[in-house]
Amino acid sequence: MFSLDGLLTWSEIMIDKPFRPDRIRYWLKAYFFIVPSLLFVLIFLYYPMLTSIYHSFTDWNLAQAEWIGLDNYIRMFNDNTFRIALSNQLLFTVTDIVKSIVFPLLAAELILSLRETKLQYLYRTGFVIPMLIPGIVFVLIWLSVYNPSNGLLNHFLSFAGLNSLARPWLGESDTAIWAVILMGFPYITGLPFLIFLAAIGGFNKEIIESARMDGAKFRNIFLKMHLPLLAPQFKVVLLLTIIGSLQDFVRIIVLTGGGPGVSTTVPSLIMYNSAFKNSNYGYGSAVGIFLFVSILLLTLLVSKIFKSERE
Amino acid sequence: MRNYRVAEVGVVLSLSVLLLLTLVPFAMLLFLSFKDHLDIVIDFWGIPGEIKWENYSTAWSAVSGSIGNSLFICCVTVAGAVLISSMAGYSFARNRFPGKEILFMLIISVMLIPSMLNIVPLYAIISQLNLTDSFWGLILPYISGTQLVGIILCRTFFQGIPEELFEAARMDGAGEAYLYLRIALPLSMPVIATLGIITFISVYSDYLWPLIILKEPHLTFTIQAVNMTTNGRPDLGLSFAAYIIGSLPMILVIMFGMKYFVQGITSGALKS
Repeated sequence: MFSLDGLLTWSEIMIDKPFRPDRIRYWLKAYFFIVPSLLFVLIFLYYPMLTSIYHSFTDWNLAQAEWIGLDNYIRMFNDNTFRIALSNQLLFTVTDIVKSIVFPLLAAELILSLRETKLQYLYRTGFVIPMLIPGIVFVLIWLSVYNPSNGLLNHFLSFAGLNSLARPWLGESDTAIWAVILMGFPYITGLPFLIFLAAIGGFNKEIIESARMDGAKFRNIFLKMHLPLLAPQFKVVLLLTIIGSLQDFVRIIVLTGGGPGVSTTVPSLIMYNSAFKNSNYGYGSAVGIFLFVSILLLTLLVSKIFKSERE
Repeated sequence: MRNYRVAEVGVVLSLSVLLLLTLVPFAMLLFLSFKDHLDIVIDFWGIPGEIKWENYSTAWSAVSGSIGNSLFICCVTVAGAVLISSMAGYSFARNRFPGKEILFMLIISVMLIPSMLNIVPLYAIISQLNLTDSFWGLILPYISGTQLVGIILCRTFFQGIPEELFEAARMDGAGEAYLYLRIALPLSMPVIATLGIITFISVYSDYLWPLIILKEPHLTFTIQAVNMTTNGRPDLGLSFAAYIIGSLPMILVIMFGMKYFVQGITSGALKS
C-alpha cells in the first residue's frame, strides 16, 4: 500500500533536472493539494490528542490547568465507582465478543447451507434490514421494548401468562446490566455477519464437497475446515468488537444513564460525565488516556495471538 | 435424500425464527406508530379502531426542523470530506515531492486513535474556537475524521487510472488543477459515491457529538428523537412515528446507493 509503484513518467523526467524553478513550483502545487487534509488532521486530531496527555496530569476546567502530577490516575484506581465500571466493562466486552461471533456465524453457515439461492438472498436481506436505520433509533426501539408498563417484553410476558416475571428491566440494579446486554437480540445484523457471510461464501466449494463425498460430517467440516479457514475473519471481528465495546457508552447513556446507582456504568461513561457533567476535564482526560492504552494493548494482544497461531 | 430434505426444513425453520426475532421490534414500531397513545396503554396488542395518521403529521412538525439541521450538517460534511480527501488522494497518488511517504503516514496513522476517546480534548479546541452551539463545531471535526478513509479510497483509485490519460493532457500544457478537476474527479464518481454514502450515514446517525456541542433549539434529529422519548411523559405513538420519519433520509440514501453502500461498509472494515 505504501510503495512508490505507478509513479508518473512525467515526474521522473522532473527528477533529472533538480532544483529548477518549475520543479519547485510543481512541488508547491503538490503540497497545496495536501495542506487542507493536513491542517484538519493536525488541528482536530493530533493537537487535541497530544494536549490531552498533558492535561491528564492537571486539574483542568478548560480555562485553567494546574499541574497535579499523577493525582488523576491515583484517584482513578482508588475510586470504587471506577472499579465497578471496570468489572462492568469486562462483562460488556466478553458478552459483546460472544454476541459478535455466535449468532452471526450460525446465521451465515445456515444461510449458505441452503441450496436455493433465492432463499439465501431473502434471509441475507432480512437480517440486514435493521442496518438501514440510525443506530440511535435502534437503541430507542429497545428502550421502548423494555418500557415497564407499555413495553413489548412485559406485554409479551403477561400475554404468555408469566405476569410474575414482568418487571422494570432497566430500573432494577440486578437486571439492568443484563437488559443492556440483551439489547439487539439475536445480534445478527451488523458487520460481523457480513464478514462471515462473505468469507464462507468464498470458500472453495469443490474441496469441501469432496470432503463431504468422502463421508465427512457437517460437524467435522465446520470444526476442521471452516473454523481454521476463518482465522483472519475472527481476528478482524475480534478487533472491531473490542475497540467498539470499550468506546460504546451511547447505548448506556440512552438506556440507563449508567444506573440504577452505578450498576451499568463503564469507564468511557465516567470519562464523559466527569468532563461534561462535572467540568473535571483533567480527570476525564486521564480516563480517556487509560482507555486508549487499554485498546492499544488489547489490539496488540489479539494480533499476537493470531500471529503465533499461524506459525 | 430424504434426510437432506429434513435437514433443509430444519435450517429454514431456524433461520425463520432468528429472522422473526430480529424484525419483531421493527414490526412493533411500525404497528404502534399508527396507534393513539391511550390505545397503546389500554390495549397494547389490539388493532386500532381507526388508523391515527395524525401521529405522522404531528411528528413531522416536531422533527422536521431537526431533520433539516441534520441534512445540512451531512451535506456540508460530505462536500468538504469529498473535496479535501480527493485532493490529497490525487496528490499522494500522482505527484512526487519530498516527504510524501512521511506525510501520508502522518495522516493515516491517526486512524489508530479511537475517535470516541478524543471527545474531551476536542471539545476544548471547539470551545476555544468559539464553535460550541454551532453546526461548524460538528462539521469541522466530522470532516477531519471522515476524510481519512476517503484519502485511502481516492489514492488507491487514482493510482489505477492509466498514465496516458494524464500524459496527453500534460502535452497540451494542462496544469495540476486542470488534471485533477477535469480528468481525475470525473472518473472517480464511484469512489466519491461510496465515500459520500458512508460519510452521510456516520454523520446522520451520530448522537454523542451533537449531544456535547449543541444546545436547544438547534438540535439534530438524533438528539430530538431521544429528547422526545425521555423528556416528561412521552406520547408513544407519536415518538414511533417520529423515529420512522427521521430514519427515512438514511433509508433513501442507502437504497439509492446500495452498490456503493456495500463497497463502503466492506472498506470501512479496513479502518481497524
